[in-house]
Order: sequence, then structure tokens, then C-alpha cells
Amino acid sequence: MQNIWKILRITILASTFLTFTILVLFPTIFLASFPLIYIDDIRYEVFENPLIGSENLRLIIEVLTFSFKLSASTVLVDILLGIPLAFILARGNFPGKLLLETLVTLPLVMPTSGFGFASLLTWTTVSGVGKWFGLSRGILSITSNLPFIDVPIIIFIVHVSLTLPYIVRTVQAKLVEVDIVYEDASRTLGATSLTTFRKILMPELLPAIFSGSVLAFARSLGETGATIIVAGVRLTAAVAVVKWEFEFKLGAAAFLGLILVLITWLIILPAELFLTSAKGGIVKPPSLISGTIVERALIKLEAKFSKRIFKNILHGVCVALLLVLVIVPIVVVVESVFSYMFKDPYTGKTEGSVIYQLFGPANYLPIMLRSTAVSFASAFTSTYISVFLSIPLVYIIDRYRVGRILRALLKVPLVIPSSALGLSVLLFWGPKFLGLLTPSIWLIILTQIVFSVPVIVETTMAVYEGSNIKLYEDAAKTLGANPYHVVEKISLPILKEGIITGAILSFTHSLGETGAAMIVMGADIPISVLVVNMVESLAIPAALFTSAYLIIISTIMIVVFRIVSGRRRI
Amino acid sequence: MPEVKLVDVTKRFGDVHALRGVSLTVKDGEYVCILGPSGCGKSTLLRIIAGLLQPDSGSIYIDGRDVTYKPPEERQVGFVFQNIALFPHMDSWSNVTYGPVVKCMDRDTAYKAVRELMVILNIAKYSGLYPYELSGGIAQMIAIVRALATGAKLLLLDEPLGALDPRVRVNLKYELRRMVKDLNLTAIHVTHNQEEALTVADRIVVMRSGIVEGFDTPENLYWRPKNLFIADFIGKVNIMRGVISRVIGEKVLISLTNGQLVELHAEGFSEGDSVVLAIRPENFEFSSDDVMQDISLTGVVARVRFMGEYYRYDVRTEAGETIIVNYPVGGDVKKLGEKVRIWFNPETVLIYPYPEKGIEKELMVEI
Amino acid sequence: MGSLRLSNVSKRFGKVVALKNMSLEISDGEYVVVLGPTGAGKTTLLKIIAGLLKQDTGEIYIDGVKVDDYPPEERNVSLFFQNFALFPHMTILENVAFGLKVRGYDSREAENRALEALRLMHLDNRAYSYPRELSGGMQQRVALARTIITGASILLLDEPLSQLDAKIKSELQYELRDFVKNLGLTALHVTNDVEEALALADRIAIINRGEVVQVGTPFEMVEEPKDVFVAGFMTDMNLMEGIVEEVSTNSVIVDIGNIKLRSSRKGSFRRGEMVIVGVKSKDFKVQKADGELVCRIEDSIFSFKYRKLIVCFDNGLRVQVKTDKSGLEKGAYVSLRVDPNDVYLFPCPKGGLRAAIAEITGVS
Repeated sequence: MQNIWKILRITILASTFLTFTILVLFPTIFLASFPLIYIDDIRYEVFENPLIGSENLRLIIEVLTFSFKLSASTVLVDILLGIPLAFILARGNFPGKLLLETLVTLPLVMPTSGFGFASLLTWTTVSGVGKWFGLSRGILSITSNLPFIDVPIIIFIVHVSLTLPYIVRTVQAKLVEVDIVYEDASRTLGATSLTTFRKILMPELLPAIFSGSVLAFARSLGETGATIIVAGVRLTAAVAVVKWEFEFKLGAAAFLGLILVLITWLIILPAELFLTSAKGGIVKPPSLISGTIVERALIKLEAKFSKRIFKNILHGVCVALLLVLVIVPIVVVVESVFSYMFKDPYTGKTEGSVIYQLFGPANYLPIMLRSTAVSFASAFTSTYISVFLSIPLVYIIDRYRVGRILRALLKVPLVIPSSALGLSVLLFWGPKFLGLLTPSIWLIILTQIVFSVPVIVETTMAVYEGSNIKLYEDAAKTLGANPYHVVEKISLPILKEGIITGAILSFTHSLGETGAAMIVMGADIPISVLVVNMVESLAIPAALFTSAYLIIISTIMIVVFRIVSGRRRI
Repeated sequence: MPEVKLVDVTKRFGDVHALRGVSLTVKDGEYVCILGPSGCGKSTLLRIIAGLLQPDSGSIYIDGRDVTYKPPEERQVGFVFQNIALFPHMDSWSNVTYGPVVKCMDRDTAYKAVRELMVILNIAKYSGLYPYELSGGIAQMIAIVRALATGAKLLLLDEPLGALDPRVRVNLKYELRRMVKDLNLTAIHVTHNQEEALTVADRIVVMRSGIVEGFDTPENLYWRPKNLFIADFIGKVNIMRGVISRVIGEKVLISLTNGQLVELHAEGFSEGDSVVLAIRPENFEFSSDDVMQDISLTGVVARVRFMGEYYRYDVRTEAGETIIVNYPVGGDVKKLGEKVRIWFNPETVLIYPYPEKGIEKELMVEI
Repeated sequence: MGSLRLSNVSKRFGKVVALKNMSLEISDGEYVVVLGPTGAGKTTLLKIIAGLLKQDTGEIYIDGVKVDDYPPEERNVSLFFQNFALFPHMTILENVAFGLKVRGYDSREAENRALEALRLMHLDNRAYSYPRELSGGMQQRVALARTIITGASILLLDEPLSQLDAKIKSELQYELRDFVKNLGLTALHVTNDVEEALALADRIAIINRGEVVQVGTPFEMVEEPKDVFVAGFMTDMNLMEGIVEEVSTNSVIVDIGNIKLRSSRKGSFRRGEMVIVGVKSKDFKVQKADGELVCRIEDSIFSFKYRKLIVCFDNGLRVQVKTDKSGLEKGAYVSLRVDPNDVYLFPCPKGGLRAAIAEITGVS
């Protein structure tokens, strides 16, 4: 009997590993071959162009600097806003907490291009918030910049909303894990709540804040869908990759993509090292001011601001900002669909109405339906395949030594800019290397598998590690269960939550992903890219309708998800 | 010098009544244990005294000052947690000096006091170690010093020995009591362990389902418990039912269910009352057949366990009841199945009116 | 049938030796309790027997068959996990019936049996709750029920009563023993609680640092402890360092800082040798101060029917005395008597008494 189980197990694990290597691993690490394949193009386009010299290099440096300023300021605000929000969610107990939690998560599952368009509409046009204040324009101009760092406010706002969940979720998860008894102990020893936060919680939270920031930074650096819509004339690095690929400046695109990937790695790797070395042990931050007069003054100051009223104000401001950033665009876009339904509310022309654009000569409806079909078919297929690939992978990661490396590699598709990832997949399967596929829905599916597998593995792994599943499996074994019973009756039911969470996340992610899709889609345009195309061809009412439609779908998804996951984590 | 007074404190968590009107006064310098089964509200009570929880109604006075709405940092209490809760990222010394630092106390005097305390308790050598390097017992001692470092004279202990090995527990409980007495502290100590409460406390609060069932010295709770629940909760009792058949002055004649008559000192009963007799296992004696005692029962030994200092016998009587007898090691050892005659001294019998809700309900740890 | 034999089993985790040449034999239907401080290797022992860990060297025999290569489900053992390991997605009843169901029992029959086991644990009214809805103590009882009725004939119980309120535990331990005995099962039960061991065991094995120190009936362990460790672990003996002053044919006189005690227990000691003297607190008899073994009562602590006196001699030696005499006030002077037969002598371990006590209480 034992031998049969052994053979079965080895067969499953080996075939999984093989599939994983071909579908996920190779396309991911294929990035490294950029400079080899494109070496001539790169030299020609970037460094020694006979016409413009190193103009492209100058451009590359410019977009990179801009992206950096943007991402860094985004992360800074994320931290300031995210920590209080994480606190409210982890320690608070109030009606509507579930709603707030859903709200924080919403930008994660919302198609970014749709959300980008909604934000653009809300802040920079007359149909948005401007109207509510009786202005004849938006409250922001698309060119209004943040002082000092020269970053357009609208891009900044969108990036903050889209990356905030990463900080909130990681810090919240850590806070839930930290036993409240330490705070209690500190309070009974005479520390006020702010002093307690600084001296007791901060050391515990630092790694979480750090890893959340890294994720948010990487996400901001690679964001394409929303940025391409709100950026106007400004180019971020990730958007530049897509644009140049369209302009057949493949060498420059590949070079920039490689630099982006390298930068991401330079940030992620030390972070990973820092975090894994701190795990198990304890992070002991050096306390520079401990016991000095400065600290005494600080403690007195903290005592003043520990009053409940200040805490309430801070929490109120954070929640209000979140509402403004996330809810207002949704409300505006849905409302605009209605006001644009039959005619343009400002010019009165029927040509500017939603109905006209969908059913009139432009005939966007069939295009939209086809795009919807492409999106759902690809998202469903890739998620389906990824689920079957991920479950055995979780076991491989846990049981075998190679697992740790696998897990680190799996972080790559999660953090690198999706446009670079798309480029890599295209290079691997496409004419430049294997020559098996040209840009089409099949390539979309293959791309989506590359980033879906890590999502599902991560969520399943979280449940796997959090639920002590090995203990349950051991218990089942000593109760007489054979390996089949163990998997069917114990492992899968316990992991179910993580698998479903991962599947839904990867499904919505696939549905909303824009950057990679733009590169690999060919003629099969998914719905998220369609929004971008509509905006670029100034078919605003159609874009409105499609955005609203996308946002509603993703909201329904998150509600379904909440019901399925039984109000626990996301 | 602290005295703690609670007046009619109530607390609910959703549908659960954790405390239903608790009033009690802990005198200055007293060591009080709050004893009760899990879920009786004892930890909630302690957290309310510390200010970690707010009561729904009622007031808390420390030293005569109303502190009901004061946050914990303004109450001058030391709190010791069951799971020790030393800050994991600080070494022992930073842990014990945390209170003085955040309270901006004068460094030299505070540190000196802390150091002295650590020397007295023989734990000064662990100053430089981190919590994960300490054994449970030592870590809890450090946590106690930390609780006292700000000069708190009121020590609140929430199952302080609960997370420790039984052997460590035995040693530490004596040290705990000695320390509280030597340093002139007032201590309130929560536990579910009867033996622990009886050894450390001056007085014990017995709680059940959010209600104070009794508040008395260990001796009184053991020898003269107020009701049947306390009698059974503080050490076990064997229960026999009977009816008062005659009242003779200060004595009553009780007829037991097996037909035997017992004469006992008891007041407040009248003829025909249903009563229960409660007799502790250690108050039974074996008698040889030729000597007839006043009250004796015959039965068969149904179980024998050697418990170190005594044998525990389960004696199945002729009436079918099981009587537990704890008999010191030294005398004859009865064998399984042996016929024995047991008797008890009427002085050691506790007598209560038959509980309205029935005996089982009366003894239940949760209402 | 369920006999169990361990022969020279060793296990290391990196540099830490968890088990060292452990041999132990348990016959069919026997209830053996393994007692030892935290970190003595108790849990490792059970996991190796269950087949969840593999020993480095040595063999395990169940019913005379070597089972070293058998997976857990084929070993005829059932393990109670210290942290319960109740399946969170199953009801209490499904949890308890799981073992019977996967062993092929009809599901109705399995549930009937499960209910019966739950009744023993006074939890039959919670059969359809989920584990998370129960308190720690209740979960522990469910896990115990699940372990007992799997149909395996050897039970491996890892601290199965540790989470229970003292009150519930003091009764449940006797019932547990009866239940296991009535089903004719063999049990290997691990704990660090002496009272629990006495209440449950046919035989007790004391282990320390991965080695068996002494095996015997509860009576033997309490009355004839082999060394300081066993004595300190099993009893509340007062342990004192002393020097052998005089050796005669049937008694030894020991000097404990000018306090002389005579022991007539067996054992060979040389004059001038450092020994550990042990006297149980109940074996000291308190008398009016009469010049011999005079000491002062420092504290008098309630101890159910008795009082525990903490007394202090002139030389600073402090001992505990258990007495049923009343009227002994704090500060009063009394004399102690002890029967030479009750004075235990043990060879002095390395590191002296301090190290021995540290070892017993797990402080290092």
C-alpha cells in the first residue's frame, strides 16, 4: 500500500513542478535575457542613435526620476494614512468595521484603468466634484503639481488609493498577531497610549511597515492601467515601456523594463533578507534617545496628545480621506453614466450620449461584449489552471528544501512592473525565442498564469502556515487515516479558504490587469484595455459606461468574496 | 497605602453577564485571592480594577479615590499577566525599568529601588537576558519586579502561576506570599486553583458566574463554608441527604436516607426540613468491627489510589452511594473489594438545607 | 492487544539530545505515566512511538512486531496532541467519530460510539458545536474522547489534562483511568503533574534530559526514590546538604550545619562524604521546645486539614513541617522529631543541591 501512495505522490509533485517551471518560472526569469537578445537594438536606440544620439537615454533617466519621486511620495503618504487605518481595523470594534475593511480592499480588486478614469473624471473635470461646488471645471487641473517634487496631483492621488491597501493589510495583519497584552502591560506600567505605540508596538510593527512599503513602492513603480489614463503628457517608467513597445522602440522598452526589474529587485532583495533574518528572532531597533532629556520631553508631549479626542480626530481624518479617495470616484462615475445616458448634459448633443456611442454608428457595444468575453474567458482559464498548479506547489514549498528558493522566485511576478512581465512572456513564447505563439488571448492567459500562481500560492500558504495544518494531518494519521483521507477530509477543507481567496483575487487581478495585457493581447482586447483605448480615442461616454460596468462587477466580486470567506481575511 | 473598594460593579460582554453587581473591600496590606472556575468573571474583575476594562455600572475606589473613569496609567497599580508579557524586544533590565522611564521618574532613586528588589528576589543576574532566554519561573519574577518598579503598592496578579510547570508553581507561590508581606503590599490574585488560593491568601473571594459566593479566610471557607457550593468547591465533600426528625435544643436528630439517625449541632432547622450533610473525605475514619461508633456505614472498597501522603478510597455503601475517603499513609491499607466500616466525627459534618434547585444544580460551576 | 517496547531509542535535534538510549516496556492493558519537567523529551517520545518522528537509533516494537517502518496510520496507536489538534472545520461529533469512520466503521455506529465517549466527558450536549465555540478545557476533553475511541489499542496521551480547571481535573482523572481500563486499552500518558501521575498510573517512569531515571509503582516512587531528582520531583521533601559524621552497622549520622540527624535507611556512605538529606514535611513531628532540634516558627500556612509551618533553625536552615496540631503561633519556638527510618539519604549530585533543585524545577 505504502508504495502506491509514494508513487502517486511523487508523480503529482513532479508533474506539477514541471508544469510550473515551463509556465511560470521560465517566462519570469526570461527577463534576464533582455540585454542579450536586444543588445544591438539597445545600443542603436539608446546609446548611439545616429539621428538623436543618446536622447532616448536622457528620456529614460527622466521617466525613471519621475517614477521614483512619485512612488516615494506615494509610499510616504501611504504610511501616514495606513497605520492609523490599520489600527482602527485591527483594534477597533465598531459597527461598519466590515464595510471599512471592504473599502480598504476595494482598490486591490478594481480594474485600475476603470478606477483611473473615474478619478480623472472626479478630480479634473466638470462632471466630477467641481460640479458639486458650483465650479465650471474640475477642482484640479490635470497639470496641477505637488509643490517641490513636481508630481501631478492627480497621478499622486490615484497611486495613493491603489497602493494604500498594501500597507494597511500588512500592518493590520501584524497588529492582529501582536498580543494586546503587551499594550495592557505598558498601560498599567504608566505609559500613555502614544508612548505605548512608540516604545512597544513600533518595534513589532517595523518589519510589517517595511514590507508593506516595499510592496506599495513596487506596485506604484509598475502601475500602468490607471496611470496611462491620468498621466496626460507625463510618462512614468512603466507606462513608457508600453508606449515604446507600441511605437516599436523595442530596444528602449526592453532596456527600461530591465532597469525597472533590476531596481525592484534591489529593493526587494535586501528587504527579504532583512525580514527573514528578523523572523523568529526579534528586531531590536536601536533606541537613540532612550533615557535622555529628549525622551522625557517626548513622553510629556505624547501624554498631551494621548487624549481620546486627538485619537478620534486622527482616525476620523484618515477614514474621511479614504472615503474621498475611493468612494467619491465610484459615485461620480456611476452618476455620470446616468447623466450622459441619453445626451451630453453640457452640450445637449445626443452624439455625446452613452446610448448613442454604444448603439450608434460607433457601435461600441459589440466591441465591449467581445472584450468582456475575452476578459472573462482568459481570467477564468488562467485562474482555473493556476489553482491546480498552486495546491501541490504549496506542499513542495513546505516540504522540500528547494521550496524556499521557489517562494522567493514567486515574489518576482508579484512585484515587477506588469508591463515588463508582459514583455518577458511575449519574448519567451513569441517569435523572438520559442516562436510558438503570437499576441492573442492565449498569450494573455499564459501571462495571467504567471502572476496568478503566486497570488494563489501566497494566500494558500498564509492559511497553511496560520492554521497549523501539519498538526491536523498528523492527528488524522494517528487516528488511522490514509493519505487519501488526509487530503480529502483534512487538508483541502482547511486550505479551502486560502484557495478560494487566492482564486478570487487572481480572477479580479486578471480581469483588471492592463499593463501586461496591452503588450500581449494582439487583436484580442480585454475590457480593461478597452477603457484605455476609449479614453485615448476620446469616446468619453463609452469609457464612462465601461468603467462603471467594471467597477460594479468588481464590487459584486468582492461582496461574493466576503460571503464566501466568511468575513475573515482578504 | 492602598485599599480597594468596589461598589456594585457590573459588566456585560454582548449577552454574557461577566459581573452581576460585585461589591467588596480589600483592606490595606491584605493578600486576597479571587477564586473561581474559568468564565466566572474573576479576570474581568481584576482588569476593571486595573482600568484595562470599563465597568458598565458601579464604581471603583483605590485609597478612597474614585478611579472608575481613570485610565490605567493613572491608577498606580502593578499588574502581572498569566502569559507573563515581558516585552520581547527588551532585555530584563529594560523591561523592569520601563515603568520608571515612561513615568519620567527620578532615575537614580527608581533604578536603585529596582536593583535592590532584584537582589532580594535573587534574580539580579538575569538583568542582561532577553525574555526568550529565561525559564517561565524566572520570567514571571522579572515581570513581578517590573510591575512593582514604579513604586506601586497595589499588586494585581492574573493567574500569575498558570503558565508555569507544577513544580515551579509550588515553589513560587510561597515566595510570592513572602514578598508581598515583606514589602507591605496589597495584593489581589486571581486563580482557579483551590490549593494555590488557600496557601497564599489572607482572605479568598469565591466567585461563580459573575457573583461573589463568599469572601472569607481560608480556615472559615474550609471548616465553616457558608453554602454547599463553597464547601464542595474548596476541597471536595461527600453529600448525604436526610430529614430533620427532631429538634432538641441546639441539636437536631437527622434521619439519613439509609435509615440511620445522626445527632448534630445545628440551629435554624425545624422538624421535617430536608437537609444535606456534607463530609470531607479526610474526615472519615475506618473502624474495626468490634468497636461501635455513633454513626458508621459499611461498604465495599471499589477503588484504591495511592496519592503520596494519603490513600484515596472509593467506598460503595450498602445504599449504593459512593463515599470518598482520604486516609493518611501509615495505617492498614485496604484492598479492592474489602468490606469496610467507616465512621465520621459529628463535629466535622457540615449541614445545609436541601437546595431548592437540587444538589447537582447547586454544585455546578456555571449557572 | 497492545504491548509496547522501546529498545535503546535515541533522538537528537541538531545539537540538542532529546532522547538518550531510552528503553521502556509496557505490557498489554497497563497504564504508564511518564513524568518529567518541561524539556525532558516527553513529547518527542510520544511522537516517535506514533511514527510522526523517526528515531535516530533504536527500535520500537508494538505487540512484539518491529514498527519502525510503519506509517502512523498502521501502528495501532492513537495520539492525543498537547494542543488538541481538533479539526476546525468539523463538529465535535465529527471530530470524535473521525478515527472510527476512516477505519471503515459504519457512520451511524461511529457516531453512537462517539456520543458515548462524549458523555463520559460530560460534553454530549455540545456534539454539534464547532471546536472554536468551546472553552480550552472543553476542547481538551473532546480531543481526549477522540483519542480514546479510535479503535487503536495503545493510547499516547500528551498532557491531556493540563488545560482543565483544578476542580474538574481532580475528578476527571479517576474517571479517565476507569474508562481506559474498562476498554482494556494500554496507555502511555505524559505529564509534569505529580498528582495526576499518582491518580492515573499503574507505573510511573520519571525522565530527565531524555533519560529514564526511575520506573516503578506510585508507591515505590514516593517511598523509595532512587535519587535527589526523583525525591524532589515526586514529594515535597525538605532537601538539605549534609556531611556524614558517623557510620555504624544500621544507621548513619549526618551533620547539617551543626544539626544532627540519624538515618537508618539502607545505603552505603563513607564518613566525611557530602550527602543530601531528605525529610518529608509530614514526617517531622512538632513538640514543645526541649533543647533538641529547636527552631522558630516563621510562618504558618493553611493546608486543608493541616497547617504547613515554615520553621527556621539557628543556623539559618529553613524547613517545612506539616502538622495537624493547632495553637502553634508565629514566632514560637518548637522542637522537631523525626523517625530515623524517615530520614532519606542520597548521594550528592554534581553541582550540589542547588543544581539538583534547578533541574527539578526546570530553571537553568
